Amino acid sequence: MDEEQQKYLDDAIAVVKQEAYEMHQALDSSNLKEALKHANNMISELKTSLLSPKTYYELYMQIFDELNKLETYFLDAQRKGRSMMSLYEKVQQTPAVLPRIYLLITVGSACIQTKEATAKEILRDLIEMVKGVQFPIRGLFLRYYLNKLCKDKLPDSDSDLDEQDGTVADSVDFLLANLAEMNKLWIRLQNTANTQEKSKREKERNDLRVTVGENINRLSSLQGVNQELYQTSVLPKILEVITSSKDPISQQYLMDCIIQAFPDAFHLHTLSTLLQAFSELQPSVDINSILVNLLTRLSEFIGESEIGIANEVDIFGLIEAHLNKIIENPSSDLKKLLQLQVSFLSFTIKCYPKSTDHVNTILNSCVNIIAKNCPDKKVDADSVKHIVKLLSIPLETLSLAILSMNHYPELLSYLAFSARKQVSFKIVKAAISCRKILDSLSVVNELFDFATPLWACDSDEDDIDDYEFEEEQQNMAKLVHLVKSQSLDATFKILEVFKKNFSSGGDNRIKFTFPALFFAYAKLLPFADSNNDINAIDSILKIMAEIIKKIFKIDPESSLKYHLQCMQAINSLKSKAEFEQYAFEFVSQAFRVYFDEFANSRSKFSAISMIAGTLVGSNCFEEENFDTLVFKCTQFSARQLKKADQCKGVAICTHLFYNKYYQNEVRVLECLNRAAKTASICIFNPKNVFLFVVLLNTYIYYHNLGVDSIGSSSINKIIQLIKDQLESIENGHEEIFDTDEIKTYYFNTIKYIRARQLEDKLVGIII
Amino acid sequence: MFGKKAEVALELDNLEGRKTATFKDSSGKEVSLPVYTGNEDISGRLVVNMKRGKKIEHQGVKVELIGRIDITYERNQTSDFVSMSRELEPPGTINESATIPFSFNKVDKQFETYQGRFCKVRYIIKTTILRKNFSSNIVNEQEVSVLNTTNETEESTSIKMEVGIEECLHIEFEYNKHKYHLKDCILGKVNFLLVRIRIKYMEIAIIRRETIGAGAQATNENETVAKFEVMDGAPVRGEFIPIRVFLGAFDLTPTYYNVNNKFSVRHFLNLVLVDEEDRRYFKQQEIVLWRKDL
Repeated sequence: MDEEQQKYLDDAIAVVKQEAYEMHQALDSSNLKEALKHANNMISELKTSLLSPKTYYELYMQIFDELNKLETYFLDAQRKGRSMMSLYEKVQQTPAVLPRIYLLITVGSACIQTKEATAKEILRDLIEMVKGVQFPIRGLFLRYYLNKLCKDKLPDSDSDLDEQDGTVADSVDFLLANLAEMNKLWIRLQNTANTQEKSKREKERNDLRVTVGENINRLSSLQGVNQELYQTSVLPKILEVITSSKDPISQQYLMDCIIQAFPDAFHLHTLSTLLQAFSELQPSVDINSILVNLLTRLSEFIGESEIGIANEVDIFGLIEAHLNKIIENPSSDLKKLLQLQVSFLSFTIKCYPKSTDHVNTILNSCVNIIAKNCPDKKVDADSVKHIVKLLSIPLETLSLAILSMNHYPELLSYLAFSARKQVSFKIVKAAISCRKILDSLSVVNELFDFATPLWACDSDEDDIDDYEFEEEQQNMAKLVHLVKSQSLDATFKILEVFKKNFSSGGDNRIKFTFPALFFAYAKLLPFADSNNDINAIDSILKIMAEIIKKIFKIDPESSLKYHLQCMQAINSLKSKAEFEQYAFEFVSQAFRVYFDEFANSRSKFSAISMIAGTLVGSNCFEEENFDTLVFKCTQFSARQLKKADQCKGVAICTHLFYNKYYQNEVRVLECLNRAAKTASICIFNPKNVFLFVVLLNTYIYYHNLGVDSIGSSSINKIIQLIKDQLESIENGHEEIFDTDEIKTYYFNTIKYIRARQLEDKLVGIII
Repeated sequence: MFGKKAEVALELDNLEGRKTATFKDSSGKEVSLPVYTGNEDISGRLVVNMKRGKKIEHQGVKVELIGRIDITYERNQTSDFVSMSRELEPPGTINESATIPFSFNKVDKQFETYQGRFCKVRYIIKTTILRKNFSSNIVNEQEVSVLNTTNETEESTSIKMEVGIEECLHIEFEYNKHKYHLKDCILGKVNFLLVRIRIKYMEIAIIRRETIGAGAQATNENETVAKFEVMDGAPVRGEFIPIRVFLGAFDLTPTYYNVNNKFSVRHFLNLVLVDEEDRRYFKQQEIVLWRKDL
């Protein structure tokens, strides 16, 4: 508020306070005549034309509070015997019109409350008398006061009044009349200005609009305004007020008011009336945003029970016809038209959850809109956003039913690469999230068609950050897991498409997609096996090998685990014997990869652990072949770069000699001795006491299994050694490393031993 | 001088419960007078309280009822339209305190008491004890007021009129009657047919016109006795503005035609529109005011 306004307001409020004070003094001494005189003076401050709407409102509120107190006094006086109706006549003798009507409304309200007069009579009289104020701001506030004061006195269907005292119809008439008159005043505010002040006036009007809209809110809050009354009487009358005004600001605001104020169920039933009204509005009214609001609300509202209505009346047809009219209007701009189509689409999907035809029709409209408004295909950024929405909304509910819509790819083609990719990504995600089973070659082909930007190397490809790319490719990869067909053959063909397309995506994509493809094939093996289809297994394994080859080229280290995976897959086949050579070859390849490609000692250790682990569980090998593999594995373990790794590796390898399929105590003991020896060499580094704890556990493991050659005495020796070591570390002058982890491991082991001893096991061990 | 001998007072009968009416005298002071109707008897008494051992010799005691019209326009002129005298005592001597009753019965007091700007109608009761020789008469005066109610006889037709200034302002207004009693309410409306001026407000004024004299020499003097704002701001075409004026709020008198050939009092409703340059557009319509009750 600027200084000048503040000053005017301060001056006015000073007068109001003074007069209010004197009014209360007079009331306290029951001098009503004097009180009314001061009330009159107080209200007369509202006659000012100096204040902006916002400042005027502040002044109004001050006076509003005082008038509330005055009304309370009137009610009190009535209980003491004063007639409100005679007061109603008396205040009409006030010579100035503005204070007269403020007082009249105040007394009128008291008349209704005390039931000296019926609400019907008073409301009719007041709505007539307020016409005396035709000055826009003053009139609007006066009628706003009328509205506020009468809001709880409007006859409604749930008020306990006799019919002749007033019905909801009277309230409706009252509010509609007030709405119509306020609307006129509001519009007149615009016309009183010359063109230079236009924008200032528009701002003022904007500040005042809620006073007008209040009538619509009030109408909507009447219980008696049910759907039928709304449809047959209230809405047509409001629309008459709106359309007859020819003022775009008013039309825009009040249409929006209707949509905000009344229940969505009403809108659904009166859609055709509303749409008709839209076409009668001034051309500069932004129908789009109103319609967007309406359709958005409706689509949020529509649930199962409302879908019936949509089928009773051809709502889709109605809206479509209306939107087509808007599209034909040459002044509409692309962005807004598309936004409208977005909300229409959301609405349609809610209304007609299964109708792909309707969606396709809308997409067609969009294609036409763009073709017409944007012949050069250069669509602006906002419109692109809308197109992306238009393409992604159907996905959320209809998911891959979009694949059958011929206008979908048409619309998609209007997008630039990145936006197109964005939609593709959504399509892919939709497929994943709805767990669409990909069982037909044609669907898969179409899906790849739609998803082209994600898997093909495109010329207009742009920079993309790694994270995003990774997410895209991971989702592409996920698609392959959705493949499931009745016959192995059909599945094969579908996977073939995936393989072909994935292969063409370049190494960066293959890195993500091929592993998934690999496992998709692996999943087929059990099926082929159960059918005893040796040929199929053979070809699957060959394809898997081929896939591994590709992966090897891109990421050699990772190929190791796929080799092992293949061996494991063979191991679980019924017909594993048939594929022993394949299995042997896969493991040999794994060793080759290990030998040639692994350089880092840490990854080397984990790789050899993995190989050992895989071999332990296998029984698909001939004894000789297995021995070869085990020998190699032990050899590699013992040749780890770090002594500690050697020790651990050899300890792990003991399992190769003692497992479900194969037991050789001698070899186990050999390995353990070797590991112990290595550990002893390492003892110079106190950190390596850890190795003894590992060994302790290995010893206990075999002792538990009943391997005779591993007795309590060697275990006791190790325990003693660990204790000494830990003690010397504790007593060491310098704490060179954190022993917590080792200690925890050790004490847990001890705890375990103790528990077993309670069950009379491991009795020879001294702890 | 006589005060030494006696206290003399003029007292009217039955004042308790009698209505009074307030008038402003020429100095603006409000006086409250007992109200009589036109054919009502006025009775009272002259109370003489003699002082011990005193006596008054007189040439007779009389009482007068005077109905007087004062016109203060240009030059003052006074004329009596009623002048009645009653002999209360023949010449003689008053020795002791006495109460002498009097009464004016069936005297037609057709004009109402009126205090206008230039014209006045007054009723005075005057008692006189006539003294011999050079002693001054003992005179007592009491003013009373006369108000006459009338019955609504004629049909009161409404006033409806279309007026305007070409291409500028065109209105149609309507008052529900042309005759109103003094506590009546004027109901009406103004319909704006064309508005090309920036109207600031609209008001209704009640104008009282005193017509002094008769015929060619008659002069009119207007006085606005009431103002009542009926509209704030400028309406648009097609707007109906309601009019509701409670006359009881104002200090009005009935319409008087030809008061003893001296003057008349008439009333006009003046509908005034004021524009933002404070130019006034108005239209006067005569209304007849009458007294329904006291």
